[in-house]
Amino acid sequence: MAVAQSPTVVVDGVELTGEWMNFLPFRVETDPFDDALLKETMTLPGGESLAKCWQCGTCSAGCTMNPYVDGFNPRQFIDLVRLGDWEEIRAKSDQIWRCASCQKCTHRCPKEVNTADVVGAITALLERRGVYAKPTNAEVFAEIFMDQVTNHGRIEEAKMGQEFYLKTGRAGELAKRAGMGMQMMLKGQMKLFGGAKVKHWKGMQEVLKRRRAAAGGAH
Amino acid sequence: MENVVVIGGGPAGLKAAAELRSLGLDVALVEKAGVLGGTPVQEKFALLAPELRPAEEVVGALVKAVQQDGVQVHLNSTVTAVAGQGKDFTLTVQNGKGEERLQAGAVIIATGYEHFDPSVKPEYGYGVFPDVITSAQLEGMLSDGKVVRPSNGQVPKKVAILQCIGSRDAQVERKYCCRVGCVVASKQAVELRQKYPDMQVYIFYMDIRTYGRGFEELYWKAQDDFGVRFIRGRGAEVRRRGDELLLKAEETLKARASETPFDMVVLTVGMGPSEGTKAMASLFGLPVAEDGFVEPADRMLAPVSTKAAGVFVAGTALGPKDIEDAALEGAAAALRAAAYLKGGK
Repeated sequence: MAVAQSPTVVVDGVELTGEWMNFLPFRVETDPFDDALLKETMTLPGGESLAKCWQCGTCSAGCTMNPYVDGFNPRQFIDLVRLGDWEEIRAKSDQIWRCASCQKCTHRCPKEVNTADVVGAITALLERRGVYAKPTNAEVFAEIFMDQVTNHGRIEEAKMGQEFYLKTGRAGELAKRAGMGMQMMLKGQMKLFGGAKVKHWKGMQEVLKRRRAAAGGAH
Repeated sequence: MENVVVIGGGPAGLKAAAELRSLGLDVALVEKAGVLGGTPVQEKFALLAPELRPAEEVVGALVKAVQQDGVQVHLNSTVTAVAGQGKDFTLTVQNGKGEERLQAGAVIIATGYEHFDPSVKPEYGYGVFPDVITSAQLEGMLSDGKVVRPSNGQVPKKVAILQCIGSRDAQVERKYCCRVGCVVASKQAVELRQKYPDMQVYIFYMDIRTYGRGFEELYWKAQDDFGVRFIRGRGAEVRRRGDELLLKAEETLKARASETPFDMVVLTVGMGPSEGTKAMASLFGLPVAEDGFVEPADRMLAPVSTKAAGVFVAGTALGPKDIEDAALEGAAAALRAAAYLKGGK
C-alpha cells in the first residue's frame, strides 16, 4: 500500500505528505485488463469483429436463448473476453454453449459485430482449452445407450436406468423408481443381472463393423 | 469609425480579424502571448480531430491570412482599460514597452479557455507521480514525436486515458461537458496505436459524446481499426506501486471495482474560462453564466452579441468548443461587428 512517500501535495494551502491517499483500506480486485484472451479469440474463426463491440446490449435483449437459458448473454460473453476474465468465462461455459445460431444478434448489431460468430469463436476458445458444457440428459442417455449397443448388442434396462440417473446426478429419482423396477423384474421384463451379449454376437459385430466403416470410422 | 479591435489571437480571433479585413474594415489584433495561434499553438496540438490534419496546417492557415491581410498585430499585449462606448471605444493596451491607446468602433472578445488543473483533484496523483500527465501534455509529446514516461524516459507499454477530469464534476463546480474530450482522447489513442502498435491503450469513460460531424466515425475507427479499449467507468484514484501506477476504476458492466497497473495515466482535462476571458468580461461589464463563460445576448438568436453595444464575443470565451466551431463564431462575430458599424444594430 506504500505510495508517494516523499512528494508533497498542497490542497487549499494545506500540505499533505506521506501516504496521503491511504486513509481508508479499500477492498479491490487486482484486474490486469489482460488483452491475451481478446487477441486469441480474435484469431479464431468468427472472432474477427469482437473488438468492435460497444456493449449496447441489443444482442442480448433480442436473443432467442436469453429467456430460456439463465445467464445466456452474448454482450457479457464479449465483455468477459475483452477483460481477459477466463475464470468467469469458464464459470459461464455451460451457458455459452447454448447459442441457437439464429443470427438475430448479428443482423441487429449496430456496430457490425458478427455476434453469433463471435459467440462461436468463444465456444471454440472453450473447446481449445478443454472446457465443455455439462451434457444434457438426452445426451447422457444417448451415450449410455450407444455404449450398451456397441458392447453387448442390446439394451439392459436395469443398468440403463441406474447409469442414467446416477450420471445425471439424480440418485433420489432412481430410488423412487426402484418399486417399478422390482415389478418389471418380477414379470420377467427386466433382468437384475444382465450383461450377456446378444445371441448372434458375431453377426452383431459384423453389423457394427459395417456401420463404423460407413460412418468413416466413428463409433 | 470603421475599425475593430479583436482581443485574442486564437482560431476565433484570427478568423474574425481575417473576415473583417475581407469586409474592408481596419483591424487591430491584440494577443497576450508572443505568438499567434492561441492555445493550439501554445500547447503544441499535434493532429486535429476528426480529420487527423496537422494543427499547424489549419491554425497556420488562419495565422497566414491575418498576416497577409494587413491586420495590425499587437503581440505580448493585454487590454487593461476601456473608455467610451459603442462606435467610439478607447482601449488601453499594455505591452512590454509600455502603454498605447487603440481606437475602436467595435470590439470582438476572443480570449479563449484554459485547461483544468488536475492537481485540484489530488486523488489522481497529478503533480505527485510524474507518469500522470494531462491530455495537453500528451498532445505536446505527440507533436514532438516521442511519447515517454517522464519518470524514466521509456515508452509506456500500457496507457490509461481518464475522461472527464474537471468536467461534469460538481465537486469542482464544473457541471458542464468539455465537448471535445471524447474525440480528442479517441484521436490521441489512435495516434498512440499508430505510432506504437504494441502499446495497449484504455479509455475510461462515463459516456462517449461525439456530437460533431466525423467525431463518431473517429471513435469507431479507434475501436474497430486500432484496437483501442473503451472501459465504461470513471477512474477514481491513482496510486503508485514500485515502478507502475495503479488505477482504481470500476468496470461498470462487470459491477466490480478493480485496481489495474498502468505505465502512464493521461487525464483528459476539461475547459474553463481563461484568465483573459474573466478579465475582459469584468472590464467590459459582461455577464458570465454559472459555468464561468461569457453569457451572450441570446444563446440562440444573438449568440455572438453581448448586452454591451459594440462588444461581440466568439470562440471558447463563450464555452467549450472545437476549433471548427470557434472559427465559425469568429466569422459570425466579424459579420455582426461590421453590420453594427455600417449602422445596423
